[in-house]
Amino acid sequence: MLCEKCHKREVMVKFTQVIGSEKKTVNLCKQCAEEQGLNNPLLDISKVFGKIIVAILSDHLATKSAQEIVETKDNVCELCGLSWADFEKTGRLGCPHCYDVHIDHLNHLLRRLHGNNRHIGKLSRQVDDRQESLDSLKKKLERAIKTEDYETAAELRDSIRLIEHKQGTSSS
Amino acid sequence: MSDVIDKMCKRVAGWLSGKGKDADIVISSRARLARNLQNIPFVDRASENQQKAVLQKVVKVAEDSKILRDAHYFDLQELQALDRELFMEKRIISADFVSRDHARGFLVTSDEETSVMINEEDHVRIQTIRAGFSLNEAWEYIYRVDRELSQELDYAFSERLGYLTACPTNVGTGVRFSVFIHLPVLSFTGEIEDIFEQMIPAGVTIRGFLGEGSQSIGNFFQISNQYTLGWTEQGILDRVVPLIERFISLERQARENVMNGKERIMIEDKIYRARGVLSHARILSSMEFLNLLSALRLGVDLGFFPDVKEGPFNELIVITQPAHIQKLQGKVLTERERDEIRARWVKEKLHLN
Repeated sequence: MLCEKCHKREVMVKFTQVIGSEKKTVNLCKQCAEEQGLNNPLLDISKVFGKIIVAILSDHLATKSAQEIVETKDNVCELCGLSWADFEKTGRLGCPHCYDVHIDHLNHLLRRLHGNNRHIGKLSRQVDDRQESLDSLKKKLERAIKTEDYETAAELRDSIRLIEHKQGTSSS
Repeated sequence: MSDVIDKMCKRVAGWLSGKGKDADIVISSRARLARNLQNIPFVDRASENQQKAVLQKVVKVAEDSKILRDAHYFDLQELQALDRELFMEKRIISADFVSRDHARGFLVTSDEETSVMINEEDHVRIQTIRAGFSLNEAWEYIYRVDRELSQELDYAFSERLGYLTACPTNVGTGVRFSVFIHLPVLSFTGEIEDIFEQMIPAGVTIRGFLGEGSQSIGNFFQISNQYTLGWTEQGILDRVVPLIERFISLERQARENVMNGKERIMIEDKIYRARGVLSHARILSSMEFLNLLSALRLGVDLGFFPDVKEGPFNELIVITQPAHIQKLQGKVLTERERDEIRARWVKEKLHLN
């Protein structure tokens, strides 16, 4: 068998990767394996993950008709200038704001990549702090209502509304 | 700076000790976090000034932090090519980080187990590597590093999508757990192919080198989580850890079966031949070396060679790489010269004759 990359030399290495339920094998000669850094099993081959995206995207494109592709308007991120077409070439977004601009495209991709598109892990410090102060304000509000301190309760209610309003806009 | 590097070059990182839980099968465990600063484009689309500003800011925060107080900072652009390769071979930095061309640097702790890369694909990449099967410990440690650095750094975060990263494969928790695992008998019997197809749950990725006999490379595999979004960090661990435990028990079972079965002579032959070649070869390529080392290591695990200590095995994998050989010899060497030195070092380190 000949190497898949150079198509010249004999295969020396079979590099196999399982992603979800799919198994993919790449057959390479010694020289091409070394060039890809595949001769060292300790090295992290992070680029492999990037390639998964490109594979998913090309699947996705294949299922769309040419008409649909033409009709889909491509937004450009106003902060960094990245279009979805740019993303399809590199598999990398340009800035945090890209996640808002390209969210319709991303929702589909994220479900394919993660089986999911909603974060439930650790919160960032800023969000955590805000959540904590929200929780403590709500407790204070309860106490104020119990003790019939309506002036304080009204102030607390305003503060809570303000924080909740901010959260609403940042997560939309 | 070259003094520091010369010292590091001779030092053996903590994670190569060969100690730790299930260290006969799991070589090392790694946890990694990807983070980006708020309101600044990701590295590839940031301006030169923005890249420099990120580097400056993160280095300052990391150097001032308590948890990384003994870490040493290296500016990639000030390092010579061979030194960059050296840090890559030590797994302190990634190959991608070496090949980039903009303002970037990294901090590494004195035990070489924890490092922070600044301006790799994401602004901040934190990683911890531990010996043996210790993903939980690696996670607990990296969690503390992240918590301390995040007191001073405002990260790009969305309540719906979590930590925002340049590549959507890392978004959410930004966490990647991985282990390097040595599965020589499952590879030898071919069972590994079936396991690959049947046993891997969704969201977990395994990769490695499969092939018949001498065509595979060292029977080392890398198992990691694919999902980073929609799971808690602990939830991701709880998905990866039992799978690794299952691999460990299957490999142990396969070893027992092969020792008590008709195939025993085949595996003995492979192991004793490996010892023969490692003891007498004058030239060893890196691929041949890894295959033979895998077989010798199995022989030691199975109790064939009470005179050979398993201790230096992991260290040998690292120091017989090209940049290490050249740094330790203090000169640039051709591939043939390196193959000669590799053959000599293996004999010396393992006391083979």
